Amino acid sequence: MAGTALQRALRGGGDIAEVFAEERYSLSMKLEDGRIESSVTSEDLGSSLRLITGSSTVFGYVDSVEERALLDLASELSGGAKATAASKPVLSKVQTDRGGAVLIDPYQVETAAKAGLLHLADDAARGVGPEVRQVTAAYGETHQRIWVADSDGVWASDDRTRVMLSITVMAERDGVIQTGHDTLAHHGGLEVLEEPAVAALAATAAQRALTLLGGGPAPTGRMPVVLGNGFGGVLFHEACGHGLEADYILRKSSVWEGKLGQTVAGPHLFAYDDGLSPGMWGSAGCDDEGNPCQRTVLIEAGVLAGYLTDRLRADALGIALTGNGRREDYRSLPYPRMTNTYFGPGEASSEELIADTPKGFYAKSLSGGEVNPTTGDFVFAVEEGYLIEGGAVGRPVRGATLIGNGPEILKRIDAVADDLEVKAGMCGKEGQRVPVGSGQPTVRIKEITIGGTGT
Amino acid sequence: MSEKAGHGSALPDGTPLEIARAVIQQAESLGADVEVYAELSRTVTVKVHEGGVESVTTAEPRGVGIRAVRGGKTAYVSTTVMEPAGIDLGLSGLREHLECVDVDPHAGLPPMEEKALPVVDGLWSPGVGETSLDEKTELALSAESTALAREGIETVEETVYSDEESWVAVVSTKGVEAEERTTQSFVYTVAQAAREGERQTGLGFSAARSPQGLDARAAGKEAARKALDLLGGRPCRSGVYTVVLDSEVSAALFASVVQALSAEAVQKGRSVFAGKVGEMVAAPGVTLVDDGLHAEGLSTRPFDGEGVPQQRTVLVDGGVLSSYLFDSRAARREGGRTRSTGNAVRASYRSLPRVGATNLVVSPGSGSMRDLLTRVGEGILVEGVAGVHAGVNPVSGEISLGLTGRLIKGGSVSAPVREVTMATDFLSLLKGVCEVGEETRWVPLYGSVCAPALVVEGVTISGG
Repeated sequence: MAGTALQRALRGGGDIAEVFAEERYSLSMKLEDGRIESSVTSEDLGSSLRLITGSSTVFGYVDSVEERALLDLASELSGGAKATAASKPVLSKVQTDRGGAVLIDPYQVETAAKAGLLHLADDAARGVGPEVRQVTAAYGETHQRIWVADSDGVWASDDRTRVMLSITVMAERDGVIQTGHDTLAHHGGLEVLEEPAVAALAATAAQRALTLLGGGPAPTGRMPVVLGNGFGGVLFHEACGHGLEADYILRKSSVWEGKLGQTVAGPHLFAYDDGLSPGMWGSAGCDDEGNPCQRTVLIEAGVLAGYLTDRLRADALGIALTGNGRREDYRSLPYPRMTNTYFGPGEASSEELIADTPKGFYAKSLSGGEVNPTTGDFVFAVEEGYLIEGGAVGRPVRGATLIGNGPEILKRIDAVADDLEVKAGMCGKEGQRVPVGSGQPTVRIKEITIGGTGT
Repeated sequence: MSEKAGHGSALPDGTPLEIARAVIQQAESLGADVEVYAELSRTVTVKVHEGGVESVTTAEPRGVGIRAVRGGKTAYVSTTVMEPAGIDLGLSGLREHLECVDVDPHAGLPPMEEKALPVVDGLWSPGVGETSLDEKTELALSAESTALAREGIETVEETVYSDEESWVAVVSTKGVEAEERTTQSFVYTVAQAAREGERQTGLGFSAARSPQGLDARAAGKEAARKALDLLGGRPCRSGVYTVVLDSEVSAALFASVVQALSAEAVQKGRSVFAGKVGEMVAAPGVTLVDDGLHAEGLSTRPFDGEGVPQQRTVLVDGGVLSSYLFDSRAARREGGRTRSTGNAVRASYRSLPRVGATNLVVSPGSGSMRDLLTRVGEGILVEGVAGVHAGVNPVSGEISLGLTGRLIKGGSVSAPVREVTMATDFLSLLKGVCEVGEETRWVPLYGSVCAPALVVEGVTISGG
């Protein structure tokens, strides 16, 4: 069926035609005020067709995977022309592994058990202290099956199951409100949400809120910053990762354009985009163009080693295809997107790194950020921070933003610890949200600007 | 749109109202209060680059969302599979979930309103459907070429024309029946200015009900001007400044603040405005209205995401907090005479309604931008903020954002600034407003907000 649609799409001319079909079931449940307020499920079934001619793309989709709907769409996109005799492509199946093993299929587990996890998280967070006033916990699972076929013969399918539990705890003391947040998520089944792990996650979020209640205002000005592992990976994602996505390179709107092979950081720095590691949130068997996911070295010993490409940009730039063509769903065109990005680990411990910093700021956890890929200017928000005084972690400070320029900050990373951890998040671009992993070991930046209200 | 159902042999023909009614009938067996939200839309997006078409997307997305409430328990399902078998599958899921969620004493669907829905003209324009793809493409090309024509603009990074015609219906077993068609179209462009190896970008946009209402050339000019203005920017000294927020930035900040004016956030203890109705929460010059019926607002509809009439609600009146935003559930939780303000907002048929703003309108004051700058004398004109989604904590009210703009010296704008942050919090920001500009602008980037420029005292700037 896909072959016939591709043939029909091309009969008015065109270089490549591609069919993408998707079936997705998702469930989310939210707890607040100690109650599971609602469940939301959605069933999405649809397909899209992309016709590429030179550098121009025509794209359409239907909320259906039926042959007639797809053939009608193909006729419409091809302009209804019948002049060119396009041959039916010969499809050959791309063999890939799944992005993660599913040990406990959430689809087979009754909803009541998932509801129980949210109550467990609520109880665990409230148990941390009487200052905890509100707990918002959300459970989400997605089962997505995709099929891709194109007129060059690519034929691939992938089966993706992702589960996520996130918790936000609000604490109050003397009229001051602070929040703490944490997330546990992976590509795989419910096995990641074992009860002790869920309780620990909730306690971490609650403890974070309580810690911040005792915090002072964040400092202002420039100083050395130690960025914690895990969510600290937002640094690479914003400061560098987006600018390595090849659509920005192609349209000359990346500060990293023309810098392949150049030294962009110290020799201790390695960075990767890894869509292959089983179980990571952003992993998959293949990307949304049917190309196998892979591990791409982006920075090797301080030298810029690669860009992230989808098929269109790899062809246009004449560089390697890296399997990063991702899309939110069948309603969306694919773009080069990160999967899981992280700095490789170094040898020092995080304690040694802090002990080696006489005075500075310890950004233990980040919550998100934004970058202008053209200039490389980025910001990210610190959720949990501390002052570093005399090489030791001192008093907590409340939320602040760190601001800097990607190429400058990368060069100022002067120490990398050994505690690599990758966390789950959602990344927005072109109006599309896709799951990405971001991570790093603890790193130190010699100097960066902190936007607090203190002195 | 029903006549163009050629794509979807499997999909039901008919209007959203007819589809919603049919689904309600099918859902009778649930023994629950049921609300169906059905949406049919048609959308075109054209991206252009370097004078040519980069991509064209056309589609007619459609789907239904079903909310069921039984014994205080709420479950929701949405599907794109609108044939009876697909709906049945959704309903069987609802049946299971109605057992597993908890009882919320305030859960429920709003009753049918006694008064008729407001009649709002001009929400639908034939221009979206009647304008050819070539003419729409031409609008995008015109925005691009206008930006490129400005000296110092080397590249236009991306230019997009997009429109949507959306036809939605809400029907419930409580007697609600509402249907409306709306259109929207917009064009935006990102220009890149380059000088001596430095590159800066600027965004220009225009939004309207139809392509005929767009000013693509103005969007191109705006993008070019903003990019050029930023060239040569450097960090300024850290300190506490008086700042002028341009209307785009003040729109971003008010859109953030309004999250804490949701009655749901207040009731759940997630708002710094809790317990403050009747108190001064802002400077006397600040008046903030949520106007769901504003003739120029792109979020104007006769009814909200649960079929309740939209209305005009004054939130802050001369600095005094006068109301929060309510959906039907938050109103019920309040008890007594509190009613929904028609602020149940839905992103699409895929999501439950939640409390949110419609069109947020900040009342203008007096004084042109030049007057504001003169009165400030020394400070910073803030023309862009970065990191709004992570740098604003709607619960604690803390704000810390990256900013771009220009220094104000001797009452005039001077050198550009970048790589600096501004930090404040909701209450300090609102109370620090000492001047409000007379010109307002509709900004469609953070919902639908109409805002003037503001002068705010006491903002901490962190730079060099």
